[in-house]
Amino acid sequence: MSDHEHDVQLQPAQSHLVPLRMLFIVWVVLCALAILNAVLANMNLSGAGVLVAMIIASTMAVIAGLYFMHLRYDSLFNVVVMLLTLIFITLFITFSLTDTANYRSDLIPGEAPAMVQAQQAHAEQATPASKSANSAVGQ
Amino acid sequence: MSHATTATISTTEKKPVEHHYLNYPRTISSWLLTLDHKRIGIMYLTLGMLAFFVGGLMAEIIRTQLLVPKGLIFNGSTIQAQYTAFKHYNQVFTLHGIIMVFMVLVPIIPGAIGNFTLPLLLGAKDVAFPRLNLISFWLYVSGVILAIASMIFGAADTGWTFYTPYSITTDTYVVFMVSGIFLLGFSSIFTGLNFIVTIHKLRPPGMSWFRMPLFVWATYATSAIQVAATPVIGVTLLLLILERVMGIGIFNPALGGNPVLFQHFFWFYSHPAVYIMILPAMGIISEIIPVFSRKHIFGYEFIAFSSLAIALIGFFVWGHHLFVNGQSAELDAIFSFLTFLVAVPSGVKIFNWMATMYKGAIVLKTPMLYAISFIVLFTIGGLTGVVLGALATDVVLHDTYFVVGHFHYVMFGGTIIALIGAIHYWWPKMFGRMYSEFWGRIACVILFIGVNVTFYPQLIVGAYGMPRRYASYLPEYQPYMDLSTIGAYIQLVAFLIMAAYLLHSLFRGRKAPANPWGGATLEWTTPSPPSHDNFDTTPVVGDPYDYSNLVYDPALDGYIRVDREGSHDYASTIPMPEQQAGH
Amino acid sequence: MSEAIPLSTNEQEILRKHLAHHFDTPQQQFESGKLGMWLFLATELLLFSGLFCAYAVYRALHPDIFRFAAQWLDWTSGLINTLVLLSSGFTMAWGIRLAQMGKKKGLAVCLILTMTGGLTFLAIHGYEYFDKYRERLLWGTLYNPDLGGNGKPVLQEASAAPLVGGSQPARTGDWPLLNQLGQAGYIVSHSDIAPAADGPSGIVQSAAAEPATLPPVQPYNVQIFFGIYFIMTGLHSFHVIVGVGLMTWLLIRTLRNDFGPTYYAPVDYVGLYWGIVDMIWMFLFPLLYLIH
Repeated sequence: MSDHEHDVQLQPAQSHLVPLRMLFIVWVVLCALAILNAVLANMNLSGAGVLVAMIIASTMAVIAGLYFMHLRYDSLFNVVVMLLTLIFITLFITFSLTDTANYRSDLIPGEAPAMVQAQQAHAEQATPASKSANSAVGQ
Repeated sequence: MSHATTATISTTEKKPVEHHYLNYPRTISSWLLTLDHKRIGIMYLTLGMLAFFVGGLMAEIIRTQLLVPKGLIFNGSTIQAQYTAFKHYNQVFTLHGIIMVFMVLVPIIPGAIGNFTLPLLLGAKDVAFPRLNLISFWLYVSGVILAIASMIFGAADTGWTFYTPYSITTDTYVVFMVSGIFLLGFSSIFTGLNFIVTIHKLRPPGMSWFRMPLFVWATYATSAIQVAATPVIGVTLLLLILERVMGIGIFNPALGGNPVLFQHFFWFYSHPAVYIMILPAMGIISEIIPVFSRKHIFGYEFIAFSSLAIALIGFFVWGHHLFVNGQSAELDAIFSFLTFLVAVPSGVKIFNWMATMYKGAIVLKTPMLYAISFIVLFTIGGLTGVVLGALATDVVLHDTYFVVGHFHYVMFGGTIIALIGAIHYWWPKMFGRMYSEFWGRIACVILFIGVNVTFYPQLIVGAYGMPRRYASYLPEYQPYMDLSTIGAYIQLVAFLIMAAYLLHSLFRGRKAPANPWGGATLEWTTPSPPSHDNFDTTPVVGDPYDYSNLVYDPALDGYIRVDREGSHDYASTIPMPEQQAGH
Repeated sequence: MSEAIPLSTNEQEILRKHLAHHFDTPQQQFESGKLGMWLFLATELLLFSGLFCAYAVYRALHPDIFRFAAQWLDWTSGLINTLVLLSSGFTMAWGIRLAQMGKKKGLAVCLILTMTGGLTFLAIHGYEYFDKYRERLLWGTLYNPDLGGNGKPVLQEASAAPLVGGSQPARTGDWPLLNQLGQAGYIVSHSDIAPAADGPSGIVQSAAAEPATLPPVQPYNVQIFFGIYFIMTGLHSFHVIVGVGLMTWLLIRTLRNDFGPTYYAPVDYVGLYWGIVDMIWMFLFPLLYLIH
């Protein structure tokens, strides 16, 4: 701390002052969007519902980021950091979804064998009957 | 300062101790609570070397076990006894993997070498957040302690990958181990974050992006991966802990969870993590090769951007770990194709290094020997990686010793060799002492032989079908397994020699000049070892790979900067080193 | 920097006191801090991305689980919580503005309001958790709700469409058994994936063809939804708790007169953190409470 020569006049860090009116408008818009999201969800849009909900949520996130978190007035690199993050998240989720949507059907042939066996055992328990022969599949 | 000190030293009596970062202040707490990036780097190095020693011990135990087909250390006459013994073997190789990956390979180059050199290479006084840096170190310590705790109570036997459902059902202390790695992950994130901000905001005037040494570029790419990938392993391990403690069920098939999802989560981090391990190593090689070739680096921009390209592509390839694990065929094909892409920037680097050496005045000092070893070993590792990235061959070779051989060629032949090279390269700057060049070269050659004798037979025996992680094997594999074990002992000899002469140099080594190798990067303009503040004046930034102004001064046994006309430029930023002890 | 504003010696002292030795100007230090904070926020988002990924995978594979479980999540309390959190985000942004202008009293009030918002959120959420606990709507083997009355749908025996494979037993009524099996280590997985012949389209068809009303039959593995619900909201609530702690720290420093128009960086950084907490909730709310 003693490094800075005392005759040099330091200037405080500059940052943008967001007008109060702007903050207030953003708050109202965000609340309205949240309510809109809830109303739309209750209107039952079936398949498109998730998509619409996500679009509204993303809009809210962008608005909050730009104004509440000053991203609009901030260094461009901070925006780049956020965008790269979103790209990586998209990548992660997309690949995982692509995979699970295409699971090899031969790996999961219908019901898991242990399940079938267990359910049979349960049925036997409910109605005490002769013991099933194939009882060594599980474990 | 220079003339005054030289005068006092030449009287050879009780010389006043110069203050540098190592000896001032001297108290224990001044080390443990230090905010100086150099001291934190040295602490990382010490602890990392200890971890490396323990992990290496595990490796020697594993190789000794595999000397005979039935197992030399862990075996038993009855089935029960054998089961217990082999479980211990599982614990040993798990510990070897976890210690080496999470405590040595991932943190040690950024933590030790990066922390020490990055601000010096940049010409900065410290990293951007010194306190965060210290927190990062102590998180590393706590992670290591938790892992050791699990070692005492009953170490995990899951392998370093913690695949569910076995990691949920095993009765070993997985939670301790995983919590330790969780902390190590945070340590890694904070280090990466710190370095990114440092590189962005703390460059002195004149240090433009394309004047940064290539190690800084590599560290930048590494840090980006650390920040972007490590949180995912954080949440994965958190879910695994909750899985074991609360039975949350997301990865547990017994509760309807999806174990393949765990593997996606795990490798979304752990594949980029191997680039966390290898990228800084490549940066080190990019520093050493031009210095000892006395020639400007070839294709600076290509090397710089290939680091970023590797970091980026590294995020697109994780699925090649899941080729035989139940991943869909569609994604298998995509990931196999993307995996080949990584070979391109890696190849760019290899060819640029070779082009740098071409027609250079190569000096085969110890660091250069390690750099050349790196190129050879990494190329073998990289090419076997392409074999594994190809879908059809991977189905055959997956989970065989071929994978073990490949991984060790890349990680040992790549990262560890580069790390040792870096320690030798910056040793004079870190501790102000020179080590024995003769023994350094001997150790390097022995190590190079040892690495190949250890890991090449593993590639062969893997192709013959020997599965990895087994505690015993068929008798026909014995020649290869024994050869591999002999290689491991040769490596041990090399490391013992290395430890001996490095420790000797700490106390008895010749005092190092400011610039023993003739490097043009900024850290060589500081005295060896540097003062607490690194640079007394803002350093003058030039081309980091321009050696035309550096001439060897036999009186100093080091290099000094001269101006174009050839007259000595004593007013330059190089302080005269204190020496003459050996002359 | 060209129009240098002359500062009082006192303000110079404050600037000098807060400038670390390795920075040249307060501007450089402030920007470094901000960049560091944004990188940290990026890691926070990536931390949550794992949970979003798990959510997406399970919802894509088992939409029926989510539709069935949604009946227990009250969207009104979710909406109230959203509005509370948005308002606290507003007061935080206002607080930063007041800090920049050097209005300490206003800043203190804003911090208190933000804290109140966070605590209200936690209280509502805590009540929700308690409610879930009472109804045994928990994760894993602890999931054991009473499905036989109290306005909840009654399970119907074996009304599910016959599955390919023929020999399947009835798919309902044995939930406690499934729990037992799960505890005993049996595999209860992926029973809703159509078998080989149907391929992935089997999943899509069943999702689209189902009426939007509640599934009459409890699907397998509803506990997965509650696992995801608790871990997502739990991790988020943990972040809210940390946020309230940070507010307290800021409030103490404000009352100690640490901040002024020349130095308010911590307020800004905590504001960014609170922003990301808000942002994550904006996604959690529709994903967890607005499933239909």
